[in-house]
Amino acid sequence: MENGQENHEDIQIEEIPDEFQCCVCLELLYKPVVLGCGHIACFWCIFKAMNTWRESHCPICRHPYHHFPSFCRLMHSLLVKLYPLASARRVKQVEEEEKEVGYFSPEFADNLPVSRCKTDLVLDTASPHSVSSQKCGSAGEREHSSVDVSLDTVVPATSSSETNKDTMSKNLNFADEHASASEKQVLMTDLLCGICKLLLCQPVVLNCGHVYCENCVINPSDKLCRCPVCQLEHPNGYPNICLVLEHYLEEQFPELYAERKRASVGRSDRQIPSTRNQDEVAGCKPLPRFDLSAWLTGGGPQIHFGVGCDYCGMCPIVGERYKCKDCKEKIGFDLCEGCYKSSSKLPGRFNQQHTPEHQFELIQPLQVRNVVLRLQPERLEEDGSIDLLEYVEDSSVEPQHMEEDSSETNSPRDDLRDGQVGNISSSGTGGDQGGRESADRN
Amino acid sequence: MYGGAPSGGIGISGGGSGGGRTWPSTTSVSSSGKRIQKEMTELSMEAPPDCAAGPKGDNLYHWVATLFGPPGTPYEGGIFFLDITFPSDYPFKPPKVVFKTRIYHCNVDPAGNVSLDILTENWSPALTISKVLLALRSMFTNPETYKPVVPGIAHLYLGDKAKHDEIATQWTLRFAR
Repeated sequence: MENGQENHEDIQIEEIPDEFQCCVCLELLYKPVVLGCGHIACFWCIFKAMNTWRESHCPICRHPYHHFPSFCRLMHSLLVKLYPLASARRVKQVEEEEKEVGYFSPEFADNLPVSRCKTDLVLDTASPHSVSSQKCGSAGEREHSSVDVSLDTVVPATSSSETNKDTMSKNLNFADEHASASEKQVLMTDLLCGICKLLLCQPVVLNCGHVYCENCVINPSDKLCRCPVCQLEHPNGYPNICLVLEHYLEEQFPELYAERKRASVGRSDRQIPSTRNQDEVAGCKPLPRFDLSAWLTGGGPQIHFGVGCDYCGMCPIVGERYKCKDCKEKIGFDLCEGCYKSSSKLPGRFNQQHTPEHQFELIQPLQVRNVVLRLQPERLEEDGSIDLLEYVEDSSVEPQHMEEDSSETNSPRDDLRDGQVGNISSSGTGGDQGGRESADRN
Repeated sequence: MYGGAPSGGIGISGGGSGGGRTWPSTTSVSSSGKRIQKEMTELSMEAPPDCAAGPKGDNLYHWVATLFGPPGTPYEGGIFFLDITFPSDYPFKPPKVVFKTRIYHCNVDPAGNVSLDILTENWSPALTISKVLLALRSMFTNPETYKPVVPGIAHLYLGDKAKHDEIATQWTLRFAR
């Protein structure tokens, strides 16, 4: 293993510019995730840097966010193309780490075959069979129209086999010694906006990882930004322009990009509020506030600490949490209330083999009384209630006696809306039943 | 999906309160080592002015850093040694920085512990040792007098800066030469 890596090191000649370096691991971005503020880091780096107790903050600008974005496939394939050797090395590196930890990042349709090909091409000249056969297959695919190809990369794995072939052929095209002109052509078809089908202009990356021109996807009259491909709503206001991607476009296609920019500025003098003043944008979902004292008294919204939603990425899940009973992966598969009720059928973001047939169960969050009971069972008073005041230092919290088996049936939305603390319902019969009742009520 | 290692922002102990399940940290030691190694090469190529840092011995996680007192401050001419200890989940947790050389400064306690917000609650995984060293350097020129660890020194700095500087210069001469 060690030898192999050294080999890699020797062959690797690509200089990675600072802008494509992850700010956390200081290596080439791998499966880059673009936050709402427009800053980029690796999938795992963001995941590990997230705060599982409350909202997280961008490592660079500390902009708060509550949703773990999906990785940006467009940028990922761009980087694989620009730096095939460094990417191959990163793939190997991350795969080893993932094996060690037992969590897996989402599979990119063409990730494995491409990286293998690259490695084969460069390092393993002894085994040319696989490469040549794939090349033959790819030759036929070249007739595909360029727009189709670029769209395929944007569409999530719904047509994975198609995508697989197409992207693979593109990458192989690139790996061959092609004239730089056609390389540029290939690159450009990868950098089109899924809406206007033109070169991206002031690109924004949504929470789902899809990239569009700012003017195409943000409609100030809509208040919300929804991805036209996967129908997922971008949480927490409007996304900022991804400056790294914009600089790359500017450098790579100076004339075309300048022209695009002129056109878009002329077309719309709209005021697009940035994420920074998102709180002022009416109708935007406010970032749920995590109020520790409310949680301690059991009055606040349900917060599932350390658990994230596999569709929208909300972490920790605020509100109801549905856990898949059939997913065997170590990381589990959970959905927040909104995503559970939506009909979206996205794959799990940690490569879970989740299918629509799987069954869900409603999970109650950890309640403070459970912690207290677990830690000090003898504190349980005779009438089955505990004086929580002893455990809550915040004097503003009123002392509350809780029934031991009363279930927390507050709907989180209610609490978020009128911000009330307390209001403990003792009528619930506990467990799942109570939670469902509250869901129905709303 | 489960979040990463809880980066204890609030006062709940990470272990037992996690609903009875304690997930293994997703940060492997090798990845923190790689990052430290990267920083080492970058520091050796272009170190920030008047600073130097590197591993103490074989252990990649224990560094020693040197800061030269910036000119125009009472620390001018002094050479300050610091110990830097990286946690195993670096860069998701901040490194621990301790002054080994005694210094008269309101943000450094007698044991040498530095009170710098970016080394505690304001740490970000995008920060590097070279940025921390820069922050320490600017701490020499602009002490953070609003949140001092040694309030007496901060009082003197605000009330009688000349006296403060005199003592600081004396300390620099005595301990940092």
